[in-house]
Amino acid sequence: MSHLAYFVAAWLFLVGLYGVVTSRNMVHLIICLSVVQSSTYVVLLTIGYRTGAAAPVFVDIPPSTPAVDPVVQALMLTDIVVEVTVMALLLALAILAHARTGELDPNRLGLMRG
Amino acid sequence: MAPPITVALPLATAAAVAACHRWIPRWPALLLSAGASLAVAALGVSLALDASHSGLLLYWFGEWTPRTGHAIGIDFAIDPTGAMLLVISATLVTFAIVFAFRYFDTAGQFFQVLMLIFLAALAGFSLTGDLFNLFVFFELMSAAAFALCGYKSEEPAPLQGALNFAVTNTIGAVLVLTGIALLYGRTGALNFAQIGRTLGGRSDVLVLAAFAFIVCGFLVKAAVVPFHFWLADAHAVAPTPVCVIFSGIMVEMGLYAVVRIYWTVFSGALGPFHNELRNLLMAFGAATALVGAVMCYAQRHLKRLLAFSTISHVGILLLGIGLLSPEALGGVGVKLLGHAMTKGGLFLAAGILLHRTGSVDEIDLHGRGRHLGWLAFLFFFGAAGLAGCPPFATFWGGVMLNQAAGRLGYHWITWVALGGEIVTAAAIFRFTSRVFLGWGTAHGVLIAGAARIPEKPDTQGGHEHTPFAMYASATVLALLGAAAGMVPHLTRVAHSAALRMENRAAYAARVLDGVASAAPAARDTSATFPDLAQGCGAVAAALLLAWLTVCSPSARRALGSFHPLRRAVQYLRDVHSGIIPDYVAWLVFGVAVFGGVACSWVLWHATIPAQLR
Amino acid sequence: MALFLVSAAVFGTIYVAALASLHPMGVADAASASYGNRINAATVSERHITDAVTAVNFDFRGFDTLGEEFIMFASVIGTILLLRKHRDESEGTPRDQKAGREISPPSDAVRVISVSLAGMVVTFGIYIVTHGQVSPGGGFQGGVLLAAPPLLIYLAGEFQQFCRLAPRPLVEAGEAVGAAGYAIIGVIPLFLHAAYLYNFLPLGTPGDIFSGGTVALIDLTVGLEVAGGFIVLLLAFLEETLVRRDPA
Repeated sequence: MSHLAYFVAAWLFLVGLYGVVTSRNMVHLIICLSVVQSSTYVVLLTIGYRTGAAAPVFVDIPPSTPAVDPVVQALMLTDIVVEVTVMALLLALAILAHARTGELDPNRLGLMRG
Repeated sequence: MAPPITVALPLATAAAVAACHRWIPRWPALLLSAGASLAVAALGVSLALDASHSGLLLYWFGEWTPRTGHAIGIDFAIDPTGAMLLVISATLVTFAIVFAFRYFDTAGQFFQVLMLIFLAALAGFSLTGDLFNLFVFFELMSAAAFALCGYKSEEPAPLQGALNFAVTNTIGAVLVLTGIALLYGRTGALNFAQIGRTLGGRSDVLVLAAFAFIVCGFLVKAAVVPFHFWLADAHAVAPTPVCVIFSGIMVEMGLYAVVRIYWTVFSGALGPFHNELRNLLMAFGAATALVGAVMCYAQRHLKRLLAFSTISHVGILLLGIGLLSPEALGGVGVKLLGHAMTKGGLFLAAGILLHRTGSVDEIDLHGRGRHLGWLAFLFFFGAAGLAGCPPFATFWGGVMLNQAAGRLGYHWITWVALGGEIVTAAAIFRFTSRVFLGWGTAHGVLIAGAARIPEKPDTQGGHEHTPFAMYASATVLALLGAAAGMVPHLTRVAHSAALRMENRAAYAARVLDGVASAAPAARDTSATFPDLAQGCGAVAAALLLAWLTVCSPSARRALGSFHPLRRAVQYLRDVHSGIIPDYVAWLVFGVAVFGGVACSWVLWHATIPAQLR
Repeated sequence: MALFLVSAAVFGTIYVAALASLHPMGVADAASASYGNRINAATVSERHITDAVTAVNFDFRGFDTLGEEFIMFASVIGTILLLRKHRDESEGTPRDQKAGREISPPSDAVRVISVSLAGMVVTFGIYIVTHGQVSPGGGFQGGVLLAAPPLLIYLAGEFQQFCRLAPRPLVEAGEAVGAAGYAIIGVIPLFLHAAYLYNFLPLGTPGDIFSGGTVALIDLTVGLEVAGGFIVLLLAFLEETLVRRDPA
C-alpha cells in the first residue's frame, strides 16, 4: 500500500467537491472548499517524504544527514496561511449575504439567473 | 531599472497607502497610486523594447543562478509577449484608477490599495518563469479580485456575484496546484524550463493528467465554457473600473498561462498528440465562442452583455491558440491587444451611462439616453472595434488568424469567429439604438427572460453632468484600440514574439545554460481585399442584425416563433442559474471531459500500433 | 446531480491513475528528489541557516513568500473593505445579535485560564518568530500564535479590553508596515548592485539567533504582518457581528 497516502488525497478532493455541490449552507460550502484545498497538502507532503530521513532542521544533527524534502513543506506552509485568509474573505461575503438577504442556502441565492 | 520593480513598487505603494489611509487626503493618494501604475507601464515599455532586441531577459532572484543546469531559485524570464501584457495591464489599471477617483464613499483609499496589488500580481504573472511563482501571483490576483468584485457590499447582488466568482476560481486554483504537485512529483522541478527539459519527449497518464488539471484550472480563470459561469455574475455587480481590468486583461491572463505552460513545459512531451490537442482546444474554443455570442444577445443588463461578449471573444482567442502555430499565436496577441483596449473603453462608457442615468438595463433605459450624444458615439465606435473593423487591432488579429487557419486547412474557424464577432457587436448596436436613439419598443423578444439586476450607481453626487476625467479616459481607451491597429509592423512584431514563445529548446537553453539564440525570422501580414471586405462586412452585418431585431416587426415575429432558438435560449438561461453548486458541477464536467479526452490519447497510442492509426 | 457524479467519477479515475504512477511514498527517485537535496546541501553551508524550510521560504524562494504575504494582506484589506460600516448603518454597545437570547457570562475558570495563558502565548509567539532560521518556526507560524492572545482576552468576556489592547488604527498600520517592510528589504540589495531579495546582511554562525542575514529581519516583518492581519480580521468580524446595527 505504498500509494495509500496519495489515494487519501484523491478521496479528500472528491469528498470536498461532493460537499460543495450538495451543500445547503454557505458556511458549510466554504469549509468544504478548504477540504478540497487540504487534498493538495497531502499530495505535496507525501511526495516529499523519505523513509528513515530526519526533519530538514540541522540545528542538532550534522548538515549531511538525509532529510525529507523542505521545498514541499515550504510551499505548503505559506499555502495554509493563504487558504485561511481567503476563507476569511469568503466567510465575510457569506455573513454579509445573510445579513442582506436572510438566506444562507446556496440554492436560494439565485439573483443572477439568466 | 530592474524588473522586480514592476512588482515591488505597486506592492510597497499599496502597503504605504494602506498604512496611512486615515491620515492622508484623497488627492495625494490618487496621485501616488496613478503615478506608481504609470511608472510600471513605463518600465514595461522599456522591458518590452529590451526583450525584442536581446531575446529573453533573465533575472534570478536572490542571486540564485542555476547550478549545473538545475534551477534552485526563482527567475523572471521576460520575453516580448510578457512585457506587452505587462504594459496592457498597467495601462488599464492607470485608466481605472483615474476613472474611479469619485468612488470613495466609506471605503477610503482601500480601493486603490487593492488595485495596486492587482497590478503587482498581473506584473509578476506575466513576467515569471517559475510554475509555483505563477500560481502565487494567480492567487494574489484572485484575492484582490474577489474583494474588488464585492466592493458594493451594501447590496445583496454584489455579494452573490463575488461568492460565485470566489468559489469557482478557488476550485480552479486548487486544480492548478494539484497539477503542479503531480509535475513536481515526477520531475522535482518548479521552473518552466527545468520541467520541460526533465519531461523530455515521453508522456504517460501522469503528464497528461497534470496537463489537463493545470490547463483546466487556468481555463476557469479564462472563462472558457463550461467554466465560464462566474464571469457574467461578477461583471454584473463589480464597479465599472474593476470590470475594465477583469475583461481587459485578467481573463486573458488565463489564456496566456495556458500558452506559456504548454510551449515551455509540455510541448516536448505532448508532441505525439499535436493534432488531437489541436482538435480538443478548438472544440472548447468554438463552444465558448458560440455560447458566449448567443447569451450575449439574450441579455438586457449592459455589463452582463459585455461580459458574455468577452466570453465569446475568449472563445475566438482559444480557437487561435488551438491552432498551435506561430502566425495564429501572433494573431491572438494582436486581437488580445485590440480587445483589451476596446472592451476597456466600452466598460468605461457603461460606467458613464450608469453615472448619468442610474441604470444599465436596456429595457428600463429605453429612449432615456437621447441627450448623451458623445456616449452613443463611443458605444458605436467600440462595437465596431469588437466586430473587427479595420483599422482596429482586432481586425489585424483576425487577418493573421484567418490566414493561419487557411494555411492549416481549418477554414471553419473563420466562420465561427466571424459569427461570434457579428452577434456580439450586434448586441451592443441593439442596446445603443434602444437606449440612445429610442428605436423599437420597450419589449425585447429575446431579452424578455434575462436577468434584471437592480443596482445603485457606483458614484456619488453630480449626476447631471459627467466629469471630464470619465469622458477622457473612456474616449482615449477606445481610441487606443484603433490606434494600436495602426502601429507599423505590428503583425511582424507579434509573429516574432510568437515564434520566440513557441521555441522550447531555445527557452531552456537561455534560462538554464545562459545560451542566447538568434532572433527568429518573422514577416508582416498584409490584408488582402477579401480581408478588408470581411472586416467591413462584419460591421454591416452586425448593424443589420441589430436593426432587424429592433425595428422590423416581421423579423421579430419570425424570431419569436422560431422554436428551436427559443428553446435553446431558454435552456441556456436555465443552465446559467446563478447557483454555485450547479457551477461547480459544470466545472467538474469540463475537467472530466478535457482530462478524459487527453488521457484517452495515451491509451490510444499505447494500444493501437502506429501503422493502424 | 447525475452530471456531477459521472464527471466526478471520471475525474477521480484520472487523478488516481496519475497518482499511481508517482513514486511510492518514502522512496523518491533521483529526478524528483534533486531539488530538495540541493537545498538541504546548501542551506547550512551557504546561508548558515539550520532550518531548511525557512531558508526555502525566505531565501531561496523568497519572492514566492513575498507574494504569499501580500495575498494575506490583500485578503485582510478585502475583508475590512467588505465589512466596513456603510452610511446607513450605526454602531451600538457590543451584544449578541439575536435579541432576547440569554448567554451566561464566561465562567471564572475560563477567565483565569485565558488571561494567564495570554502572557505565555505572547512569549511563545515571539520565540517562534525570532527563531525561524534556527529551528522550526518563522514569521508565519509565530505571527498566527501572536494573534491568539487578544482572542483569549475576548473569550474571557472582555470585548472592550480586546479593542483597547489592539486598537484598530495601530494594528492596521502595523500590518501594512510589516508588509511594506518585506518588499523594501528586497529592494535594498538593488542599490548594492545585487539581485532583488539578495541576502546582503552578515550571515552569522549557524544555530545562532542572528544567523541567516536578512532572514532574521524578514521573520520579524512577516510576523508583524501576519499577527496584525489576523487581529484585524478578528476585530472586523467581531465588530460586524457584535457592534454593527442594521438600519431600522
